[in-house]
Amino acid sequence: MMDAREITTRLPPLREDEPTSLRQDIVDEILDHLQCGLRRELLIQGGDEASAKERVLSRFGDPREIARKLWFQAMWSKIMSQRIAVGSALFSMVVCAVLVGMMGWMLHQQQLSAALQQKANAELMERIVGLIKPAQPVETSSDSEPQKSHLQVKVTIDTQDGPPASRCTLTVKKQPELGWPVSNGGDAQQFTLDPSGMADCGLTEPGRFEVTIRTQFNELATSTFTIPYHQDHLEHVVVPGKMPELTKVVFRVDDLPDDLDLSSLGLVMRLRPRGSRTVAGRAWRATGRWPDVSMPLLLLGKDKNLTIAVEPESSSPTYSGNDRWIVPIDDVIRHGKWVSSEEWLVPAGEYEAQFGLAKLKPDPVDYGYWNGLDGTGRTSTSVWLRKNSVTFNLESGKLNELTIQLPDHVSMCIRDQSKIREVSEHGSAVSMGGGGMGGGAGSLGGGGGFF
Amino acid sequence: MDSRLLSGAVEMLMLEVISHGRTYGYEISQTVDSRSNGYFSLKEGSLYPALHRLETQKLVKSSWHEVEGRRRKYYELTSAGIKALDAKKQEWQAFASGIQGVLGEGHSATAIPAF
Repeated sequence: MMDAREITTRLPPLREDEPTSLRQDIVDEILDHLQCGLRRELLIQGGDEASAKERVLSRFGDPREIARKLWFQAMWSKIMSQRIAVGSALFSMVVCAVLVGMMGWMLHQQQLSAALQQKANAELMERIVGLIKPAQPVETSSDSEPQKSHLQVKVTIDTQDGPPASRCTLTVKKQPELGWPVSNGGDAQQFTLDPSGMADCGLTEPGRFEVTIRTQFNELATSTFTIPYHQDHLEHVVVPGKMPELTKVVFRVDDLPDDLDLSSLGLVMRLRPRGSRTVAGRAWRATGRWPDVSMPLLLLGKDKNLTIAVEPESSSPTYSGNDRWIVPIDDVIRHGKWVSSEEWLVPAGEYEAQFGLAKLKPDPVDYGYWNGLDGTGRTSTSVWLRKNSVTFNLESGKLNELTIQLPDHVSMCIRDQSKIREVSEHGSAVSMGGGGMGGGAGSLGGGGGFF
Repeated sequence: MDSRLLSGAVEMLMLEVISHGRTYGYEISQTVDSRSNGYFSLKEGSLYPALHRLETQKLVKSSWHEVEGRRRKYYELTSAGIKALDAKKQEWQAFASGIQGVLGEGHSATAIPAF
């Protein structure tokens, strides 16, 4: 027969939550059954004890397996509770681990993103600092002028690599900008070029600048640029190296009324260049004051003579110095027409003819010239009919003859000077003939208000 | 015998044996065996898991007593066990009656002489 130790050989290890009497109760109940069975077997069947025990065990079954079933039956709820608790704990740990992993991953991603953002910010800051910093150290910079930049202008002829243009003058002007103090006042400063075509404009504050260059042919061009903080600037300008081609022009007036009294009031016409030419991508505007070229000033006046004058200016060789109109050339009457006897050489191109009326005063010394209009200057003696201007083109390589047809309104104003105001107030048009100019018989005309 | 039918029957038989008074495992097995004329040739050890299940279900209650120098576990029916036994008896009698009815009709039909 089995003893207590043998019956419990298949039981699981002792658990902490196991009742202290459980194993003993199971063993006692099984042993009691086996003892009862053996006693009965010996009483009824007789025989030896060993065979009786064998029969008892045969009817009972394996006591170790029965004890194991009973133990699990008693501990089942606790085992399942523990398993559920352990499973829940494991599940919670897994969930927590997953959450921690996800949080770690997200944190890692955030760190990566922050690192990338920080790197991008650093690069941006470097760029900004690079923009603010001067490209090259300015030797003349000092702590007292920490924000100034060095401005230089280089001028070459015809091309970027052309010879230096030293006969130009340039004017530098700082444009006022919102939010920027204009310490150098926005005032224009003139500079001259050295033999190498360079102009050192010195230190200046950052901002937007305008450089106007006047060539030796009195042509103008303007360049604008921006100088940032601590960054020197070299402005390179290419200027034209040759003057525009000269062409010939004569003037004539047709059908001048006989009764027109031009003794005290004359008709004047002056030419203004309107065109420009492009050199190295930059437009150069003509001023009408080319060197060694006197722009004609048409004057129809005393004795109905057509004369040619030149505008007074300091650069003109015919300037008398007292703001008088100088009339250097006689005009002759050819076949009943008033035609200028001089062929004028002027640069070819587009011009604007501007007409006006001027008071005339005979020169006390009659040299056959008109020696001025009033003696007090043109601004007080001439009335320019600014709205009666026409444009035309002087073509190169041929003789250009400009014909002026005097309109009735202008004739009326010349006859009666009081009509000038009347015509102006009524807005009547004063035309200066019609048609165009070209070949050998062109004509000038215009229209518009009187003043 | 069908094990499912046998499982329900054994529990009912154990409850019936216990209902007659406090008893213990070996006595229960011997009573069932003698009353059924050895029909339920079960391993005696298999009664104990069933007994403990009934105890867990509060249909029986147990107590330990010292007998001949050994500890013996006695079982007796609870009020819930009494109700459960009555219900199982009625259920079994209805089941047996139904079975007997069918088997009885078949036997009667064969006994009636055909005219």
